[in-house]
This record gives sequence, C-alpha cells and structure tokens, in this order.
Amino acid sequence: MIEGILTGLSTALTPTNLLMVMVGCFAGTFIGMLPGLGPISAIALMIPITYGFDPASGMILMAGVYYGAIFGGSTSSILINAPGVAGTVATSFDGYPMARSGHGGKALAIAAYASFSGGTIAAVFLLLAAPALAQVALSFQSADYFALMVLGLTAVSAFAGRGQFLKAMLMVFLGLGLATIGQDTSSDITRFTFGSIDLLDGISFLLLAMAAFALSEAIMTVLKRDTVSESAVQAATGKMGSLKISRAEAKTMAPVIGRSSILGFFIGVLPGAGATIASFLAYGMERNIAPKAEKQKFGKGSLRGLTAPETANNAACSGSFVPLLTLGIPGSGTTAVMLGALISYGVQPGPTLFTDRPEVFWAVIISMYIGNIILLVLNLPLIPYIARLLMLPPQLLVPLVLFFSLCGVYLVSFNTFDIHLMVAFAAGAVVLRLFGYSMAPMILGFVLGRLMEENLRRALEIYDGYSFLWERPITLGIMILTALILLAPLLRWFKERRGLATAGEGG
Amino acid sequence: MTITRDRISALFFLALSVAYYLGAMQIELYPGDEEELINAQTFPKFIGLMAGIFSFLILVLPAKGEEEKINWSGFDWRRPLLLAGLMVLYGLTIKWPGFFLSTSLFLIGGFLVLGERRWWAILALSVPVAAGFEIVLDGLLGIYIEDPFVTWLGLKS
Repeated sequence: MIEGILTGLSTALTPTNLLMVMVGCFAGTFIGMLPGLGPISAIALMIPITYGFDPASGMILMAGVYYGAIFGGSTSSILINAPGVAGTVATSFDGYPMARSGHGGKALAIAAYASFSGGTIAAVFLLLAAPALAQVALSFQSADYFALMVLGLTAVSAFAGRGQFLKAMLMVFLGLGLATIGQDTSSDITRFTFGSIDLLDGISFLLLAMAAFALSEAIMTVLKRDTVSESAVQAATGKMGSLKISRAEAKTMAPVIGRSSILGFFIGVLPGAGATIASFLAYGMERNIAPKAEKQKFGKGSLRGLTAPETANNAACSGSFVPLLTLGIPGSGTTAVMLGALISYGVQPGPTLFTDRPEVFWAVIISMYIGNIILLVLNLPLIPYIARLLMLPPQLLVPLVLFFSLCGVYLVSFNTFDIHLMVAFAAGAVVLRLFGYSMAPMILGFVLGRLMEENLRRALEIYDGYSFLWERPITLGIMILTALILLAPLLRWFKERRGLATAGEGG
Repeated sequence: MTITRDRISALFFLALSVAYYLGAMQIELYPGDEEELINAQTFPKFIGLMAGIFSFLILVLPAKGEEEKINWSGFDWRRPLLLAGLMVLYGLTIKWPGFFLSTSLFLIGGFLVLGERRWWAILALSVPVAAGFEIVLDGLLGIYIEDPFVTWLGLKS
C-alpha cells in the first residue's frame, strides 16, 4: 500500500495535477454555488475540457470539482438559504440562522473545517478500504458483476425517498432502454436506430448527461422565473463577520466530526445512498443524542447542527468512490457521470484499475485529500469575494451555461445532430422533472446498461443458462439482498395499508 | 381511481414500454439466434416488460395522500421555448456561417430573450466569448473549427 500511496503522491503532486485540483475546486465552488446547478452538472461540464488530458489528470480535476461543488452548495445554503445541491439542504437548517444573526463568516468557517475533517477522515478510510475491496473484487465473475449492477440500480431507487421508488425504477429502465440504442456490441445488430446513421454508435453518454443535468437545470431556472434574491444581494455585498472559531467551539465540534465522518463514509459506500441521506442522518443523530439544552438550539443556529451534516456529506462523497474505484459500479448519479468519463478516457474502472492503472487509482484518492486542503486554505479566505457570484443574474448566466453545454458536446463529435438531440432530451428531462422524476437513476441505468448486458451474456454463456443465479454463492447472496431491498417498500406499503384499515375500523 | 400527476406520467410510460417492447420484437436477428439463450432482443424485451410492470403498478396502486399539483400557469413557458428555438437554430448555423458568428448570435439572442437590455453587457459577454473560445480551441488546443465566416473575413486560412 505504501508503494501505492507513493505512486499516488508522485502523480497527484505534479505541478499540472496540483493545478487541476485547484482549478477543479474553484470551478466546482463557483458552479455549486449557482442556484440550480449541482455537482453532476459541474462534472458533466468538465468532461469535454478533460478529453485531451491523461485519465489521472482528468479524474483529479473532476474529484476537485465534486468537492468544490459540495462546498459551493454549502455556501449558498448558509448565506442565502438556497442549497445548490441536495446534499447541503441539512446545512441550511442551522447555517442560515447563524448567517442571519450576523455570524455568516463563522458558519462558513465551521462548514469548511467540518468538510475538511470529514473529507480527510473519509479519505483515510478510502485509502484502507478501497485496496482491500479491490483485492476481493478480483475474484468476482461476470455473474457477480451482473448481480451487483442489479443491486446498485435497485438500491438507487430504494433510497430515492418515500413514494418515489416506483418512479425511480421507471427512470432506471428509461436509462437502460436508452443504452440499448445503437449497435449491439456482441452481434453488431442495430437496435432502435430508426435507420439513422447518427444513432449507429448509440447515444453519447456526455450528450445525455449534459442534456439531463446542465441544460435542463438551466432551463428550469428560466421556467420557474428564478431571479437573484434580495438575500443573495445582501450576502454578496454585506459583512459576514469573523471567519475565526474559538477553542471551545472546536472542542464541541471534534466529537461530532468523528461520529459524522464514520456515518457519512459508510452511507456513501452504500449504492444509491450518498451525501443527501448521510447529511440528514448525521443531523438527526446529533439532534437525538444532544443534551436537552443543546437540542433546543437545533434549527436556530446550533454548532453541532451545522457541523454534523457538513462533515457527513463530505465523508459520503469519499465513500461513494469506493464502489466506483473497486467494482467499477457507481453508487450515485455523480459517480455515474465519473464512470462515464473514465470509460470515455479508455480506462475500465473496477478491480483491475487497481492493478492495471495504479497511478489513476491512487492519484484520485490522494487528490481528494489535496482537494480538501485547497478548499480550506484557498477557498475559505476567498469566500467573501466568491459570494459575489451569487449576484450573477440568470439572464446572463443561463445562455452561457447553454453555450458551454452545447459546445462541449458538439466539439467531441462535430455533428450538429447531437445538438438537436440534446435539445430534445433536455425538453424531455424538463417535463420529467416537472412530473417529479429524478434524473440520477436514469443516468445510472444508462451508464450501466451496456455493461449489464455484456456481463449477463457472459454469465449465461459460462453457465449455459440462468443457473449462475443460484449456483454461485456470491451472486446468490447479492440477489437475495436485492430482493430484500425490492420487497422493503412493498412490505412498508402493506403495513401502512393494514395500519389504515385498523384505524378505519377503530374510528 | 383519480387521475393524478403520477398516473398521467405512468400512463405515458406504459405506452412507451409497450412501444419499446414491440420495437424490441422487431429487432432483426441472425439466423439461428432465436434459439440462443441471449440474443439482441433479450435485454430490450426484459427492459420493456419490467418498465411496463412498474408503470402499471403506479397506475393501480393507491396514490399516497394529497398529490402535489403542478401549477402549469405559474411557469414562464415563452422564454424556455424561445431558448429551445435558439438552440435548434444554433445547431443549424454552427457549420455555416460558422462557429464565431453563430455563437455570438446565439449568446446575444439568449441574453435578449431572458430580458437583458444592457448592450454593453450583451456585447461584452457574447462576441469576446465566441472569439476567445475559437482562439483557444483552434489556436492553442489545435482543435480545428470549421468557420466559413472568419475564413471569408480573411482571418483564417
């Protein structure tokens, strides 16, 4: 492992890659701060820029963007109560009241220290867990990978929220269906191309990611008539107060950081869970275990209430890299976009990444740590200036985002058909968003679609049938877990129905 | 059964699943492929079937409590539609008259559609952005961009 860490350090600490982390953190902070644009859009916007880079540099830039976007989301959560990212909603519960009482600077500093600590502790966990899991994963066969992908897609839907499971599953199938467009990889038979030559190679992952996230999110801000709020102008121009935190405050934060880091990391590792669930769980856990007097402060500017979700969401970000780097299976929409990027660089993620491309594997892990340091050392002092970006009017911002998205896709293929297809997909994504459908399960389904079919094909060929589902213990175990996840919402539904029936009889 | 937002969308997905499944049945196979354990139709058929089942479940299962209603009239439909039109137009003009003019006009149009009226801001964020982008891509990164307009101006060979 020491050798690996040294490889990672030598790759990540080159001047070019250090610059990548810095640029990534700044760009991520900037985009994450803008209302409506989250980390997935931020990363998707970076993909065309990184096409010419070597994979390690590209991934390092994206890891920086990911962290930066989460940090930027926290900033807008705290200063204007407008979380740019779902993972920072819980941050606004106590961060915004602190900012309103004139301690915006302190709230931002707490968020930055908590993020740094959470990210650092989780990076150490990742350093230990990822190689071990990658070693185990080397013994995995196609059948196990197929089962793991089924598990990942099911779990993403199961964690989508109450009442959202079926809709998330539909989006998974939409993504899988879109992945079947084009030539079948094994037989070269064309599917769903409707005679179009432009669709022979299938739909580009970048095109779909840009349309479903960057374009549709930008259009949604216009549709909803979002404008620069008064609080944004105030936050951008007003005083934030000191960025310093006292020794007593640091002492209060330390145990919260410890607990939330562990929780956040493990939630992040779970497929489908990620930063949002981690931050809410950490917030809930801290509120439950807090002494009565402290509990009263939650929602009114509690130090613990701000520290917990900020630590957990950053730790979860690191955790979500574990399945991506070791199994090649993304656990969230963001890591799905990263997987797509890796594949487009010609790198096959998974356990072999650890053995075949150790410089990519380790450099990503090390750069996460460096990213955390950069966010703390460079971004925090610059926050009062970066906050001025909150004043950027959407009428200037949206056309630029549209241009970068369209241009990013066009410059890869130089095919104008792609621009028109993007507009069509973006329109579809906007309608689906209005109907309450989430785009993350769709992109996950799309990214995993072809891999899933290939692994299923190989498993069927090796076992000459579907017997792999019960003959291989690993596959069987994963499939049982999947069935349990699938049945859980159904059982809950029956329980609720029974409860309602009993209440009806009683009443 | 009341028609809710989820049920309307589920109905759409059900129709899409049926169409997709029927489309999967039309995928041409090589002779003998029908007998194989898995062929080019298998996975799409499975997707169509499962999507149909899940859409059907949303349709028949009782809706949870009060459905969130979409206030269709509360949205600004005109501007996103105009932006979509601009994007289509951008796709049609990017090859001819070329990247620079097409991008500049797209950005100017976008700013105007969204209500920006300060011409200094409009011009400062459109023409230099388009020119800068082309210079960086073409000149620095070596990505050749076809641009008949700039060539006609004599600024590019």
